[in-house]
Amino acid sequence: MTELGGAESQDVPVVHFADGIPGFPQIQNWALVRLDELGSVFDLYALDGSGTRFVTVPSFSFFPDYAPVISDDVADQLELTDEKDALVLLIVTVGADLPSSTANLAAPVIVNSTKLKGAQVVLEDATLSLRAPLAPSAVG
Amino acid sequence: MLVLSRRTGESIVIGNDITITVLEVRGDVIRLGIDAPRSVVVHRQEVYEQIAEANREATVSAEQASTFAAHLGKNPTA
Repeated sequence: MTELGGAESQDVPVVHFADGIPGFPQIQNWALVRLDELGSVFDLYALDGSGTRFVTVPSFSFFPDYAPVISDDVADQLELTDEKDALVLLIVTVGADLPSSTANLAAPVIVNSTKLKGAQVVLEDATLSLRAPLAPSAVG
Repeated sequence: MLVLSRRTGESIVIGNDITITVLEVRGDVIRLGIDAPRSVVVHRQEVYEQIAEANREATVSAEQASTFAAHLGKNPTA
């Protein structure tokens, strides 16, 4: 088992998702682009011309204690051998403003920033929220 | 839909490399063992559907993504 979280964000252009993303299983190639200088928000968009796009945030920006445990199978699939290579991104459901936006903690997007391989991992922990408010730690 | 009857300990084989074995039947709960290559992803259907639905709801336009980043710029974390 590999414990993730706390990894530094890196600029990674095109990430290959061998299994696609649930809801979009046929889309394997996604561009990952920083939307700010700090690397606290990333644009994840499909390269199949469909215009499918997500806003994602690195977990450590909003949920510093979040440390998903992924199986060895997933780590192998992503060729993850060093947790420093793992970028843990959360898909955001964008609301009208920041406090009404939520993040999916139940199924983080794990990216191997060296190999440019990614997967949205469905975690076994049923207590994790699909729609956790971003607000509490975000606005001081 | 193909319908097969199996007893505890019996299996079905799908394709060349996927085997599903009935491990235990207790009331209306059936425990299944799944042997599949690592390239085959296995999910509980209702969990997978929830994630897929959440993803479909989370898709945004490029404009929405920029607006969100702008909101974040005004309320930086930490």
